[in-house]
Amino acid sequence: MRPLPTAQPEPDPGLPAFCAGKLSPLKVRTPMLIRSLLLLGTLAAALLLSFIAQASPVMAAGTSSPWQEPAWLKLLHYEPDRSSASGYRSAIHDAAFFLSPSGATDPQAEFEATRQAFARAPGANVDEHAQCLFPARFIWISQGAGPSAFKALECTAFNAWNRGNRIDSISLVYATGYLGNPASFYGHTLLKFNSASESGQSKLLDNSLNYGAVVPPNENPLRYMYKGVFGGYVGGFSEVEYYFHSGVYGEVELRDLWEYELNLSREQVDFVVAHGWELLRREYTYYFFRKNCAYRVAELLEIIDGLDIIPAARFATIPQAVIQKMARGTLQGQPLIRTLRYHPSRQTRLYNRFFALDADERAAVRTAAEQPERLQEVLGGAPGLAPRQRILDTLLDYYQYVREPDQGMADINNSHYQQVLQARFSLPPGATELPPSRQPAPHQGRNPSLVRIGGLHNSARGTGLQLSLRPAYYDVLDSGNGHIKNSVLAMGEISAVHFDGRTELRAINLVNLESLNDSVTGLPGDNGRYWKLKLGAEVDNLACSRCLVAQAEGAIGTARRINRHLLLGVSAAGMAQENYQNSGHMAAKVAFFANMNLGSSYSGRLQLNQHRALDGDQRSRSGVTLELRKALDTHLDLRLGYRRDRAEEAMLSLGYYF
Amino acid sequence: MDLLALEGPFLMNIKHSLLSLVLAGTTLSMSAATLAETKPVGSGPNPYVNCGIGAALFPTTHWAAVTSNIIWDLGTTAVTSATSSPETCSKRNVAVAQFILDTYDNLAEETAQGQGEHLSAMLEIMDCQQGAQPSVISAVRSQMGQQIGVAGYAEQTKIEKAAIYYDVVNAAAANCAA
Repeated sequence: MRPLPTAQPEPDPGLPAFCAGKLSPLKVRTPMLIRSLLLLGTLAAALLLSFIAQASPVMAAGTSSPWQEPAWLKLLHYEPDRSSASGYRSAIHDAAFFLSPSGATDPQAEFEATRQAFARAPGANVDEHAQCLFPARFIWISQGAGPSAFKALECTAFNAWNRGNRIDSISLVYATGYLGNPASFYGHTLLKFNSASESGQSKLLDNSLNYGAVVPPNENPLRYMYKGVFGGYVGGFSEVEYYFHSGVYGEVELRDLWEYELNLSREQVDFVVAHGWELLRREYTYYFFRKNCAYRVAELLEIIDGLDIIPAARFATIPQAVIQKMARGTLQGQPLIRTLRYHPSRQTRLYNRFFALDADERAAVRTAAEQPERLQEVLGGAPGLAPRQRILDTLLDYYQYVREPDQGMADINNSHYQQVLQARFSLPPGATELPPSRQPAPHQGRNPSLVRIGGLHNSARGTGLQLSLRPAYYDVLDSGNGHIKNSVLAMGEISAVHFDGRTELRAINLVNLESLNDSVTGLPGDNGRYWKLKLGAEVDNLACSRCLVAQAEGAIGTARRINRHLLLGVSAAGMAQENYQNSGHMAAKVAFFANMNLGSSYSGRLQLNQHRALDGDQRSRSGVTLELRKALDTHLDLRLGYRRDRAEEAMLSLGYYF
Repeated sequence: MDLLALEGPFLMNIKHSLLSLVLAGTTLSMSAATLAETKPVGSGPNPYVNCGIGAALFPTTHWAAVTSNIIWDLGTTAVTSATSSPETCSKRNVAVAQFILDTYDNLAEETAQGQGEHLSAMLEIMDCQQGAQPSVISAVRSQMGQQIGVAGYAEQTKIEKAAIYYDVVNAAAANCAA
């Protein structure tokens, strides 16, 4: 029998988890986000609850029979289920996946039915034979039964799908996060089946396998969130050639793609490909949190003996955490990752090209972007063909970044893009070199969850302690690999303080989002747009005790990068809040912020704000927040903070990422 | 619930594409006369009009229709109409047409640059021999350079531009198959 994998199928934790990554600051429409805010609160609350109350795994023991072996249980996606006589129930619930009527809950019956089906003579359509429908099961059972146990059939459909057995490697592709959909905040993973290099096939035409939920058109957002969190959608694997994903992620959603090619033997590749075929269009139940895209894709890979890449945290499967675990992992003593390929998005390519230009070329691009009617004049002033090509290729990237193709001629940038493309056609052919990117890889980043403990002194309340927990994911000071700089994505964050023997909640942030377009090029449209959405509860001020008030805050603003160390911004916010001591239900707030970045280890943020209640006592008050961070290592940091809001408070804290 | 009933962007796009096809069928033949003086580019028979291509356009901007949403049977949505020839809707032609529609901007830019991975992939789908590819690209570049310069090109929809590009490539690559 085939060597057994070490990992066990996991039990259903009861509460699902989240498919998560970094934010993309553009291509996001504010009304959509506002509509999503309440839903995000629900989602974050579920995240927090599931983090606190994690179910403990229960796994049936015993591997004396082949149907009890982990490999068989994995191939059938059995999960522990106390309501089943066998103690198992498959995560897949369409009957066509099983050869025994009781196969969904009976591993032994399914094993025996599968053996019998493999031995049967084929009918008129060989592709409908069990060997062709379940080639991974056939590989595994044949290895145990011996090569002569079954007469192997020629499966036309499967052979066409696996490109005539010319797939020689598999990549796990990680797409950085996207703010256009709450389910994509934390990134996405999919599988790419790489054709043998000697086949000469374009990598864009490689097949890919993607796990997702099947969502009805025009789904109500409330229902979308509820059903996504609590398992109301069918989930499953779909296939499409890789160019589709590179287009959607890289060109439309402006998300970088990181392709991790796994260090697998040819037999292991064949086994995964065969199992991928078995899973196509099979129906699972989709959960945003735990059993999401990252979980199911990793689970598919874990049919390989000894492969263990699903993160241990049971509250959620964050795609980046899968990548990180994979990067740290080994298989049969070898590193699990063979090569890493980076596919920058259109936005990243624009930035790379723009900053690789010399000063004159950059000025030419700026002139053409600001005054498109001067395009020919700009090109005429360029000293030679290569500079003209570089200017035009940068402008092509620029217009692809800022234009809205669906708006047609209503968006003038579409017309400008067409003029630039026409100018490019009028030059002799020749591609310009895309400068290499220095983006840090997601697998090198820190872990996603954070616990922090700090000592503080409060001018009104004395000396105390603060403890904070943030299940996911990053803030302005610690956004790093695979995150968006100067942005915030935090969910389920909770902090408590301890003064004079009393412990009380200081803040519960169900959702805290800040998105900032860094205005990297300063070209029109790359404009430093900033927005913020926050939902939760926070103390009314630093001087009060047991004064937690529910708050919802939305802000928009703008920012400008002064130099590579300093970014300045202003914002205006509207707040709805619980009335505390006649403080009112509505308030307006303006803020100024300065984000500082001093190398990879030091970062800081200063924020000054002026807050005015619009009802109640209509009081105004100002506040100051300063926080400085020193990264001690990848998973540890030290922060020094100062806040003033009715009282003054200073805190020194230590954070650990896990 | 029936899986097919749940196909979010897929069904949405089919509805969209039905309308698109009617419009495209009309406008493509009209645009042929206006966009090129010599050859009636985009006049078909054409997979976009006759084979249902367009049903798998990029996901719409509907907020729930990205990433987390699965699209069943993407890329196999072409259907042969009663009026089209089997050759028009051959597997290869449909694959080429779909590829052009999905990656049109990349193809247009790479054609202008004279090379690129999308161009190579497209010619690979067409079974175009490596040795013949430079001349095919050159011919496509020349034709498309003219098309893009014609008044009204910018106003074309994506599917109309893809159809024009498809015809240009089809003509240029007529004899390059391995």
